[in-house]
Amino acid sequence: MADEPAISVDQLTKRYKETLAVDRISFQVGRGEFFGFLGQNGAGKTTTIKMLCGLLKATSGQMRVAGRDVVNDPLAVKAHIGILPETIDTFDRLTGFELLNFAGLMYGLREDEVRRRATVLLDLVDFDPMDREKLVIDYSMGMRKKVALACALIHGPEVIFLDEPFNGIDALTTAAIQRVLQSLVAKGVTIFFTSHTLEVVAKLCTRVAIIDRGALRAMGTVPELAKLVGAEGASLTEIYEKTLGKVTKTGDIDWVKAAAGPTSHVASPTTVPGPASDEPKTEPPAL
Amino acid sequence: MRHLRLLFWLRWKYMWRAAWSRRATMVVGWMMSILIALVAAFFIYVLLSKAREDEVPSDVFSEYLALGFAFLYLGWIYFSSLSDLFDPQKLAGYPIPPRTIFIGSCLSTVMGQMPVYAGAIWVALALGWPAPAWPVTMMRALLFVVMIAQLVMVSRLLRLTFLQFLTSRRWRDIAMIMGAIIGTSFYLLWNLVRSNSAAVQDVLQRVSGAAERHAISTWLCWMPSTWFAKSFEGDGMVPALATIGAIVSTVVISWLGGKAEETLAFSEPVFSYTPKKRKLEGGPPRFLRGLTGTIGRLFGGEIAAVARKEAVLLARDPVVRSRLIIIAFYYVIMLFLPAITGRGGVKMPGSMSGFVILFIEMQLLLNIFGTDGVALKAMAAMPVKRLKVVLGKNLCYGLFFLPVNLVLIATYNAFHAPEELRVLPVELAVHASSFLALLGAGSLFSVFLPVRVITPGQRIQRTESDETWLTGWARMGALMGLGVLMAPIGVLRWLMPQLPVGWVGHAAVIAGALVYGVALYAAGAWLAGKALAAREERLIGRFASA
Repeated sequence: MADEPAISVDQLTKRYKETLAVDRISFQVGRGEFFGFLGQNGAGKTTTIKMLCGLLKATSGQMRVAGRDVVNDPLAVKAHIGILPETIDTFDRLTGFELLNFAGLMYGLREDEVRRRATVLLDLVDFDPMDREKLVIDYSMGMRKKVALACALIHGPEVIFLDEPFNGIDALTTAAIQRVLQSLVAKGVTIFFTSHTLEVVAKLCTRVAIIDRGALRAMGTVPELAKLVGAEGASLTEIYEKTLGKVTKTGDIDWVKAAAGPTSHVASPTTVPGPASDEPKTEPPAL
Repeated sequence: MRHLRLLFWLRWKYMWRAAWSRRATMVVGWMMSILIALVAAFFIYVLLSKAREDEVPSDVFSEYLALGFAFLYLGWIYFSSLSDLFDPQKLAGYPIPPRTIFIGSCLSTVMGQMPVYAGAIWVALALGWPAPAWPVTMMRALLFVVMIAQLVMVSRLLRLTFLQFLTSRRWRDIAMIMGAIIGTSFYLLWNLVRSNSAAVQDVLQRVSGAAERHAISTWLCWMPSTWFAKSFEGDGMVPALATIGAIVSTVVISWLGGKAEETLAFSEPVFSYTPKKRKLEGGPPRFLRGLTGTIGRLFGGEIAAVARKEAVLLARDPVVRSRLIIIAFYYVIMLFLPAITGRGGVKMPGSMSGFVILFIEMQLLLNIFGTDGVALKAMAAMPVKRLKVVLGKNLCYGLFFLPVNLVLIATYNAFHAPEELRVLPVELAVHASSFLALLGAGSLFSVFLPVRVITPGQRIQRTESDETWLTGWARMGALMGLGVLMAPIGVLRWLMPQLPVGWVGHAAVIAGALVYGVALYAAGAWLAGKALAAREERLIGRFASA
């Protein structure tokens, strides 16, 4: 089992009536990889993640995650993976600490061990004692993401699936989560990751796959992909555009221009007065 | 067991949090609930301890059970709650078997009702429970809880099956629906199917005879657990057949329930609405464009736009669609057909049929801003008077529901009381008047007491428990107030057959009823429009945070 890839997918297909959401994709992800899974909205990323996590039944194909067969034994797979979904829908009338305890016990950990891990994890995601005792419903989007990430880590998963983990959260929280993820990869945990922020993908991921309309278009390291599209040294954004063959549309919304009238300019302040300054205060310009 | 224990803990936490919420309004909700629980507990005690001694007629016991059955099956429509605290989506990521989710959800719901049953014991003690009755009565109370648990399981299975039906239309799911409906099939067979087969008649007669001999409601005689509970009423012996029946049925129900949870947990929510090519090219159907065009000419473009949007959503929104299917299922099969065929069901007077329809439709009529608040947010950004939004939505509901209701009432009355058909126009006018009044009240409810039902894809989740709870009570109180307002029309309708009035009198009553209904509606809609402008921000906030 130790020699086996962390994720192994063979001819995976998902069909909804006439719509082919995922079309016979095959790939493998090694243990300890930070794997980026890219694609436009509706390309099939989330559907693939859900199937790999045992949350959605595949129409056909084989999947093995953490050495277990997803189709035949989804519960065993769930016991060895962590999931951070795009939208955090959880038991929001529990406190963050209670939610972590609940998650740990659901994974079969001992109560004292759950408490220890919950304390460590909440500290890691920078929750102060007050935050821990607040109800999840009162958390900001960033705090929800962080507590959900802690829930995904409490049982020591071998593989972690992250669906748009940085969507809608602030820069500091993004940086904090990135640091946690990088430390996990350093310990041999596999991370399967989707994001629309290509700079983050380029920074974190060891390998990248691009999916388009359910089919896998390209896979490899960023230099390999650049070579593949004949643009060596290109950024991931350029590779992405070339792989998908998309051209950004431009057009003139003439009625907006007509209604807004001629352009006027407002001078920007060169400095912003601080609150403790003795200088006479100037009002910021009206926007 | 570990998972079940955690689910119970979760339920307990939610109940506790709801109880100790800092909001003062919660106190009112709790006090009302405790009051209701005490009253229910008292009745349970009286029925369980006295029925054996024939101090209470045995059919009262049956009727009480029938009432409990009706509450379990219909109450969730009123409260707009699927009791989905353990939404499969929230638990799907954990290594928990779907059947455990099903059983845990059902048992923890029963646990939530335990204060009522425990209350029965306290009431009994307070009243000086006679010592000799202790063991038997305790046993009965326990079996009653077992029976309630099984009813809750069947109820949840039916709900999940509906949701499955909306999520997927594959043959497997149809088979699942059939499996769930098996629970009610005895009832339906019993009350609706007129088979000429001697064997079928014989079986039905035997079941019927046994139910009558044991004073068991025909509503419940298809549930093996009913016989199981009933079997303890005599000398405390357990007939083997009843016990085996209860165990087998529980296993079958939990197996089907596990399958239903699994299907939902593994089903990507996909809207089954697929735009047809001609629709892509031409927009809404021609009749809808014609209808909204007429509305536009009569009331203005904004009202027509709101009404058109609402009509399209009525057809496409999975929440609305599920409500309509449920209305059809419960109303037509469980109430309407038995009543007009004269077999089983509720034998309600003709004049009551319209009110039953309104009760079942109430959930839609009282939530005109939809179920998730999205529409409200969109409307807030538009430069349109709030009264016009209310009018547009009401118009759509009125045009959609009122004609259907009138046809149903006319059909019901024609079967139920053909000799009273001369007062049918009055009957219809009273319904139209009540409908208008409810529509006006619904607009006010939607602004002051909205209930949120969120729907990720095709799934429906319950709104937060405390909100549903309090809103439910508040709505009940407000609806009683509406009942008082409608009393003059009701009294007039009641007196009609006795009054020696000719067609002029009938016409006057019809006109009076309609004018009264329009006036109540206008007042409700106008107030709702005013209040909406003031409360919009708070409403959107509530939808967002619930």
